[in-house]
Amino acid sequence: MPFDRPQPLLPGTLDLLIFRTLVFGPIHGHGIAKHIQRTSQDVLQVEHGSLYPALQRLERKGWIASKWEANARGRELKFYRLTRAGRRQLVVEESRWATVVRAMRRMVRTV
Amino acid sequence: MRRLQLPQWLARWWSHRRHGPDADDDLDREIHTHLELEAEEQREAGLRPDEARTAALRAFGNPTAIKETARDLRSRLWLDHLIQDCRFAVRQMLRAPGFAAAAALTLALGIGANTAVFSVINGYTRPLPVPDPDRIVVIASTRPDDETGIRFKFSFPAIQDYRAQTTVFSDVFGFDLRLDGLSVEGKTSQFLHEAVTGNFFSALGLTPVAGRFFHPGEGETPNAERLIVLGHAFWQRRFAADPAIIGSTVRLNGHPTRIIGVAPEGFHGLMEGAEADGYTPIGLERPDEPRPGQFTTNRAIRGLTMVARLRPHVTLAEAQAEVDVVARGLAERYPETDRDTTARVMPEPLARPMPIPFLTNLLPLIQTLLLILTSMVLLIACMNVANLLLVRASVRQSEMAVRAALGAGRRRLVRLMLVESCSLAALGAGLGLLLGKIVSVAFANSIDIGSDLPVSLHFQFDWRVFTFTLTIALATGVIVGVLPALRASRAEVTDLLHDGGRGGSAGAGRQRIRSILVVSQVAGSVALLVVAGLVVRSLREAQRVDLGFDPDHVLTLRLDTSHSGYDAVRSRAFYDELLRRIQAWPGIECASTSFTVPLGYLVGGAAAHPEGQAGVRDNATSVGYNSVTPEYFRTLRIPILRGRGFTDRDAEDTTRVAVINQTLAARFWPDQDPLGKRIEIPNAPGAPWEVVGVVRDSKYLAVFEWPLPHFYVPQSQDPSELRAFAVRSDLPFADLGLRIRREIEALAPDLPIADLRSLRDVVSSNFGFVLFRVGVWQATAMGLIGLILAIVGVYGVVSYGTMQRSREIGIRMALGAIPADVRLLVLRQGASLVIGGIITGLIVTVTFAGTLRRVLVSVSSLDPLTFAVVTLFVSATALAACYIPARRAMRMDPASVLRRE
Repeated sequence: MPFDRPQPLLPGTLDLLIFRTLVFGPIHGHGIAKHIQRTSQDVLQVEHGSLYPALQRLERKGWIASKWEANARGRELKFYRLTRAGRRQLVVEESRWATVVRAMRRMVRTV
Repeated sequence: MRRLQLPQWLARWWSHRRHGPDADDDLDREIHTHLELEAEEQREAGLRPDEARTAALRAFGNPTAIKETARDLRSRLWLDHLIQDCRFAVRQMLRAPGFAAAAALTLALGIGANTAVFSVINGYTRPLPVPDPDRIVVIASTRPDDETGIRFKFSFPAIQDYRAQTTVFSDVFGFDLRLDGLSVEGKTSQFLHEAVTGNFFSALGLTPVAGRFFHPGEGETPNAERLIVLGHAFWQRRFAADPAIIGSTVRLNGHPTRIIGVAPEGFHGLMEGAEADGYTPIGLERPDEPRPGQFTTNRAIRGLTMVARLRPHVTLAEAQAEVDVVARGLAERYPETDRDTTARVMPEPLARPMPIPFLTNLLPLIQTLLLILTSMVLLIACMNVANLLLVRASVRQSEMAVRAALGAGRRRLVRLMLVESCSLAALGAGLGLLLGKIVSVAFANSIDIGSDLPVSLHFQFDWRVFTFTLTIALATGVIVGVLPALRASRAEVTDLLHDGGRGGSAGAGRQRIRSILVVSQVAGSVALLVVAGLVVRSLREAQRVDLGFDPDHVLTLRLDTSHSGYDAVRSRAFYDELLRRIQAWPGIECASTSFTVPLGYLVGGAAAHPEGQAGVRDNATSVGYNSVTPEYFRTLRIPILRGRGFTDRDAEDTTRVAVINQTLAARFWPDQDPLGKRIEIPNAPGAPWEVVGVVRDSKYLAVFEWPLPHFYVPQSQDPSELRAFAVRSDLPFADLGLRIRREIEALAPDLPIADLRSLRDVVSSNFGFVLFRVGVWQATAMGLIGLILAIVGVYGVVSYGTMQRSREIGIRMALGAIPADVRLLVLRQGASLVIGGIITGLIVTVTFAGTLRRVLVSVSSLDPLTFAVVTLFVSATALAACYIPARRAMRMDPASVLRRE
């Protein structure tokens, strides 16, 4: 196939995507959405809205922290960054994901 | 200084409530900037500004729903939601007060009925107010020749044997309910007391509120010291709870007797239903004893109900096994008195009020029946309210659709509906408790045991009743709410929004559910009414049952001269004089005195056998017995079939004579002429009694008894100090009663008069009958409630159905249907529901009617009259309920209906 069609997110993967995005430094909600879309070459479609409840949940768990700051163009935006606990959680999530991927690979073979 | 700390969850919730709006603003701002950024990007990609904004929104999703989800996540919102939902539920109720009132009242009927019945049963079956009440057992004597089981008592020596020879009981004791006269400062009144063995209180584990109790072994010898322990209620009533009366002396049946203590509050004695005024030792000398001084020593005098306390961990079966061994031993050692006697151990609550099988078997049956009836009422009420809620849910379809569209989750919708139905149920439960309270008080007052004796029926609302009500209220709320809630939440948003405003052909499934509900409601009401009808008819029949005597136009009252310490001579002179005076009044047909009147709560019985057959029949048969004056048979209109009744010539010094009933004649002298035969009564020493007449059988103990052997002796030859007067007269009873009262006060000013009432009252209110009256009272109430509920249900569904079909009806009318067609259309819908319900109800009732057979007297459980009347009644009322919406439909103006759409 010449290109992959846009896919809805697998349940449970949004957290990992957010973590991966935040690894590069503080970023606002819109930036996270754009980053996910761009780096997955538009394959992973995040409904932007669904990002915010997830961000709130992660913040409540103490894995990320947020702060209102002005960006380069002087607009006030809420920036999120990974906390120390968040970095640990990222490792956990990544290894869980790797397990799932390995398992799936074993089950599904390309013909 | 320490600050007051809130519990953590409360603090968090509180802080959320304070910071919640801020968090909302924060999220709003964030979403807003997000949309701006996105729109900017889209514009840069070359879209027009308005297109850019739309695209941003499309990429974002539903902001409101997102905010809802975020807010849900933020804190323990369930509590918040609950409060919101409750507030909403209250608002909903206020918005539709008619609906709320109807639903709450319906539930109140169901819950109230259940609460009342439960509190009555709870009152009757509550454990004794003693430590470890479940260890108390009653031991009843059973004998093959005793058909009624009424000779369940033991002699005191037997109780001592059981105490000495068993190991399973920590204590064995006995009591005997007695009625005597107590004089305080010259005023005599009735004194209902329990004569108890010395260990009675210590075995029960009670402590006195004042003074002391009897010691184990105290007062168990003939002519024991005369002591009294007062009951708490009597102490309060008669002595104003004065502790100084301990040690003072009163007169019991004329003899000085010392008060030594007071029983604790709440303890009413061991005879359920009777309030013991006090307790006396069993060794007290009594005025009417045939063999004075032998109560505690003679094995043939069986005057005590045997009660025991099981040792810890001993089972009933183990106790029974040991008791069997003792009973066999006693039967061998004392063949004259104890042969063939066995003993049955039963838990104390199962022996209430007395361990007589026909009473103890009947009570649980009636209780079960009542519980089933009331649960049916509650079920029908639930269906009714579920129905109302369903109807309402469809009215609120659009509201639910809007909520769903705005992002309310399914669980949230279900919960909203459940909170609403539970609030309704809570309201219903509150009303129901009130109703149940009122009803059970009225009920307690309506119980008339046909006597002035102190009665204690305990229907108070205790925590058990409260828990019960709370539980059924909650269950009701969930049952009632869950169906409409699921339906409302399952609905597809788009369907509802398209359909909501109009209510045309929608919801065929919903209509079906409602129809099923109405059919089961009608069916339930039919079953309820049939059962109620059968019980009511059964009582009617019982009252019409041939009593064997005529209870109408007879006034009765009871006197006991021994209460005032009269001796035999004075007592007899008094009764003769009083009877002579009354008989002389104009308007008096005839009057008599007797030891008892039939179907009262006092029963005379004696062991008796045909003369010379003591050797043939080892045990004398227990036979009903009454001592009467000559006019007795005429006063009660008991026909003399053979021989003669008593006359004034049967005197103390002439031949002892007896009149027997048909059953006794057949039992003692089958296929022989009983006249001239003689009866021996071992407990009344002396010459045998010659049979001079045979009278018809009548009822003696209870309306539903089988024919019992019975005999009569003349008062002149067997006088009693306790006597019942029977006066047959057409004079108004109020006047007559007053006149008799004055006459007695003139002759004997200090003699208490008891149970002045018509014989009809006595008959319809004695102990056995009361159960029936309770049943009828309740069954009728349940049946009526069931009917009301069914009518409301049918009316509701049919009028709602009509409303839904108004467009169809309008079109039909516009196309030329005449009003009669419309009426037929609506009536047909209602009629099919009603008929379906009635048929289902009849099938259910016929299937389960067999279980009723045991409580019905002279009425078949498939009584065609009852079934026919109920069927007609329910069809007529239910169709009438359909007629109102039918008329409304008929008068509908087709033009306005169609235009409204």
